[in-house]
Amino acid sequence: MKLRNKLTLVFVLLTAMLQLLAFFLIFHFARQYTEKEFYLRLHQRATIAAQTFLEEDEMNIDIYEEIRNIHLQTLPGEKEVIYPFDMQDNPLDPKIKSKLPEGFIEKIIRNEYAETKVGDTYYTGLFYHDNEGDFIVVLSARDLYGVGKLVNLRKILVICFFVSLIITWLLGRYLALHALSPISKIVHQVNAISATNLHLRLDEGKSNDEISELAVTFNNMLDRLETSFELQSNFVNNASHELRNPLTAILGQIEVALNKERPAASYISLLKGIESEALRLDTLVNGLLRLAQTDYDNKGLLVTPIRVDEVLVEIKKGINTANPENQIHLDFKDLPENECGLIVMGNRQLLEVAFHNILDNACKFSDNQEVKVRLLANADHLHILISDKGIGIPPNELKSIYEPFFRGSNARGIEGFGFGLPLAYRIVKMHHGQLRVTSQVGKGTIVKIIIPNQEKATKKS
Amino acid sequence: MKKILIPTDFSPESLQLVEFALLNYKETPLDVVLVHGYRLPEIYWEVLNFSARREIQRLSNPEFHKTRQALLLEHKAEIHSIRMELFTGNNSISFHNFVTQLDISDALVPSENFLYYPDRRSFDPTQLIRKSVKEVHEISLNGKVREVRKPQFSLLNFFW
Repeated sequence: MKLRNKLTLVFVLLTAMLQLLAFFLIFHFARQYTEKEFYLRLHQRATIAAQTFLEEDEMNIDIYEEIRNIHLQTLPGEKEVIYPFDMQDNPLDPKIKSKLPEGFIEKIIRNEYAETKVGDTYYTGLFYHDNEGDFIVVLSARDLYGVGKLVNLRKILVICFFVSLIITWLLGRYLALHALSPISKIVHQVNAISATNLHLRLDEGKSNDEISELAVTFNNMLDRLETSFELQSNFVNNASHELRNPLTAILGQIEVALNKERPAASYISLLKGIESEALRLDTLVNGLLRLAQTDYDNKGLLVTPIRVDEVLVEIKKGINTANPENQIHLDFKDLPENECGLIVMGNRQLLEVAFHNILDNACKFSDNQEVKVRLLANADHLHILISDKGIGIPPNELKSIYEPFFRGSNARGIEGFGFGLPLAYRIVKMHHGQLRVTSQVGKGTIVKIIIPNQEKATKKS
Repeated sequence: MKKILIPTDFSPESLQLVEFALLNYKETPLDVVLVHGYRLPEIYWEVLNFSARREIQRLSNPEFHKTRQALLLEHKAEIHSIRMELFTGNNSISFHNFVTQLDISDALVPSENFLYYPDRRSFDPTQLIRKSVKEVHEISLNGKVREVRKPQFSLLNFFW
């Protein structure tokens, strides 16, 4: 069933149910009111009848008859019966009793008043005390007018119900069509988007309703899809470009060497050139391999308890040797008293690579300006903050920095392949940690790494 | 010591702006004032019983406070305090008074619609900050994607 028909059906069913309930209540209360009114009438007539017949000495019967004929008139099927009644000496004749509804007389005697309905005839009974004795006055009649009114009301309600059902169906259909037309439009627009025209976007509309929210969600998804498509094609482009550059250099130098005979010194210089390019190629291939290994696969990884402060000191030493001009300041002022808070469960070699890459980037992109490394711990996690005063990352490129080979638009003149940070990111993720980068162009970058400590990691596993 | 005003929607993500403040004010320790626009209730009884502390508690979640505490811990030397204020006025003059009273001359705002105000009484004070504070740093958060679900009332919810 189409959503449009489903909506209409639900709408019609709900309205019909509500209407049925309302109409049933109207009819029920109307019938109750009519019956009550008719019993009241019978009661009044029974009282008048009793007074007239039993108090003839006190009232003129002719006057009563006249009043009755002119003003009160007789009701359809009206019967008035007065039985003399004496509890001890003159019990009621069983023949009379059998003509009345069962238990009716007993009820009159008990309550001094009773009313009941048998078929379409209404009965009212009174227990009347007089100076001549006790009497039972029973009055019965049929409420033809009341029944007529109720039948009429029922007819009106049934007609109203069916007419409103048709109107509701039409209205519901119109509403469903109107409500779902934007969805049909979206379906149409989405169908038009394929891998070749991923730049197309849906019309988000001006209103702030669910439909425009859906369009915005679709557009966000398309943005992500487009980015990942771009990144994928960029990765292949960048990788082949990076691999080709050293190869071209090597081939060029070999060609120069083979061109003609040269003195030994120039061969040595050419071979040195080839060696440096081959080393570059080696670094690149190793990096790629490591990236592939850490691709969210931590099976078979050697996990040991590691003191992060020691790792950081060692990395600082390593960087000091390679780049003596660095200004890395390790700030261990806020270390916890309990050394257990400084220990994380992880692979030392990988964590060293991650911290080294980030620290190296911080020095590289800030032209060896001051880099602050702060280590602190709370009950569950270890926080490592690395802040530099470097060139920063443009805001629109922040989302791509974890992709291999991506290089910031403002980092063209700085040496690198663009997989230091992606590798660090993956290593931190493997250790169930978080890596967050806050950066502003020209102001610097803050890299925050949060890794669960040994206690937390053990609890988790 | 520098007092700096930052708009907030009491979400942990909004506290990223505090980190940007650290990048922009490197040399001085900061007193951060997070401001959230809030319309006072119309009912007299509710106004009498209004408590800014209580409203802040209601609008913020434990995750926000956890992130705030973490920030204070991580940047002990740079951040002196992070306090939260509700701005209950409705025009730039009252905001100007608010800023003067707090003795603030610097502010940091996101240049795009980064903050999200789901409460019907809340509003974004960014425009007022731009008008009333002398030194305003615009932070572009282009790369940050925030996926927020808007709790919207809809008749369609009755059907499914």
